[in-house]
Amino acid sequence: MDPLLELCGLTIGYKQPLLKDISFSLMPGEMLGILGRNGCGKTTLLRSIAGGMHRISGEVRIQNTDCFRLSPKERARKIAVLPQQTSIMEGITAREILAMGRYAYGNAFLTHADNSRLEQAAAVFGIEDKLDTDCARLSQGQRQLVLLAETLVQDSPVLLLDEPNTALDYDNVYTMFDSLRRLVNREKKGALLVLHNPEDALRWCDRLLLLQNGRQVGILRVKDADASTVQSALRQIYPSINVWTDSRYGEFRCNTGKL
Amino acid sequence: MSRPKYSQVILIVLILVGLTVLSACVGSYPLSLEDIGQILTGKAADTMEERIFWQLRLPRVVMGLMSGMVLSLSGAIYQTIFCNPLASPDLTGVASGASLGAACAIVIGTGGAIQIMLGAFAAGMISVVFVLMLVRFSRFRQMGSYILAGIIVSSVADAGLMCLKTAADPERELAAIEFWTMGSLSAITAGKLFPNLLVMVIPFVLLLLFHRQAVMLSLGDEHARSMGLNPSLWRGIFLTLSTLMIAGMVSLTGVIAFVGLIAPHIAFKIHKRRDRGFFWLSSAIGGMLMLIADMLCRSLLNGAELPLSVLTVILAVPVLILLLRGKKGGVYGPTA
Repeated sequence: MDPLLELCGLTIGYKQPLLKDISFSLMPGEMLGILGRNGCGKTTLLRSIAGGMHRISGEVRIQNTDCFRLSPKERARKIAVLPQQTSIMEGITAREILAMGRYAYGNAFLTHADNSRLEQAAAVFGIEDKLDTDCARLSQGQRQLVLLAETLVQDSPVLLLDEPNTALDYDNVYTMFDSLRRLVNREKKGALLVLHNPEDALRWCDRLLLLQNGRQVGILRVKDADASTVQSALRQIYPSINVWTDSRYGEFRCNTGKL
Repeated sequence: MSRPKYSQVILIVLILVGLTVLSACVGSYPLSLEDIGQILTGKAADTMEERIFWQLRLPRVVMGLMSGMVLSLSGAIYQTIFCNPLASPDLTGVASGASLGAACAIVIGTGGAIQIMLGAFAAGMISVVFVLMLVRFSRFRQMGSYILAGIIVSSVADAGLMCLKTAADPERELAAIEFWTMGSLSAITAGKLFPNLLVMVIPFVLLLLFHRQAVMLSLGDEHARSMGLNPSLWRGIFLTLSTLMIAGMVSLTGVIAFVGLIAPHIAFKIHKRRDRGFFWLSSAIGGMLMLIADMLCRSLLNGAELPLSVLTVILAVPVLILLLRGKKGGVYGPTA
């Protein structure tokens, strides 16, 4: 199976590189988490794939096409991005935000199919009753769900999600990851997620890309890994982390030795 | 998607038409509705009323309406694409640049109407070229870069204007510069209006058609790019189109303050949405404000006219105070 997204020795920056020699691939139906400490280059990596950073060397290929040669619309049809921060002015409804997800397809007006896609995406994250609400009147978590739904409306094979669980309550974090997991499996999309919580990353992602100081220090395959393998991999970035398996649920649990 | 009610649209059109007709009647040579009816039906051919109507009054009313609409649409676009409620058409330095161009025509040239118009238009356009060049020169092409570049170009143009004022003949040239920088529709004639009207109408229509891209830019460059929009290209398109129509307007009317800032705020207070209707309503309200201000300019003093900016500022201040008081956390703004 061909990868959806492939990075080969990508170095990003201006005079000084911000990210050095990043290489990995994202397969269809895969969720790949990016873990690392603050300032290690997680968001920069997503931005560079999305075309917002200057490349020094290396390649980014999406479905075997050089990402840097794509026009913004072509790129948007292949990659949907949830940025870390978005400001939404007062007076813009959730429906209008979702409709922007169809901009890359070039229609001046939404077709019937566009509208049904929009309703479906809203239903995935349970915001169908908020569609005609001004985003300024939604809570921060609800706005995050609107922005997540917009990435689905874009109908791209690759999803780049920068901290998708930000501002979501406990229930919505579960619903969001679960919906995303099902969608990725069903539609054979690839999702690249920047995450901060190692437990969430270990629970929902197939593999983890570990970053430190702008360098890739390893890729951890979560499935079939035991707690000690996971712990030694994660200790490259969080030196005092402890990882064990919760025998009741068969999931990894983490804490930090500093506690 | 909610649409403006037909009753609201009809009401706004009626107010605009009413103000336009009223504005055509008011002036140092008053025209009655009956006079206008006779002129429009051709029953008053070769009369003084007919010449005044076609050569002076109608061009002035059209220019007043159009300049208000142009300023307000630019203001609405700027406030949206820069996600900043204080953005206005002066942001790119077009007004300062045009003032410098007009002052050059007055001090260095002969100060003829055509020279002033061409000088103002050319300098207004050059100022936005400098803004775009400065933004290109900066490493990070973000919203703040455009605002900062606009401030730099405006400041340089203002410094140049001050130099010219110092060198100007106080009796004749300085007075002409001051009068021009306060704005007026008194010099509008049919011959001057029509070439400039074209420069204003084409960008105006295009900007209304591109409202969707403007709203997408308000989400920030990163998000807009992820949805398939080229932020640098579109911001450049918006700046160029709005500068083109503002330069076309300013070269005839001089600088008119505040309309571009307050009309979008009033429109948002009424419409409460940032869709196509908001941009139309902003334009209509700008047109209304300008017609009211121009009528007051013509009629408040006997035998003389007040500068337009005096009236637009007087109209704007209470509106701004009300808006400032109206809402917790600012007039309106982004929500993170």
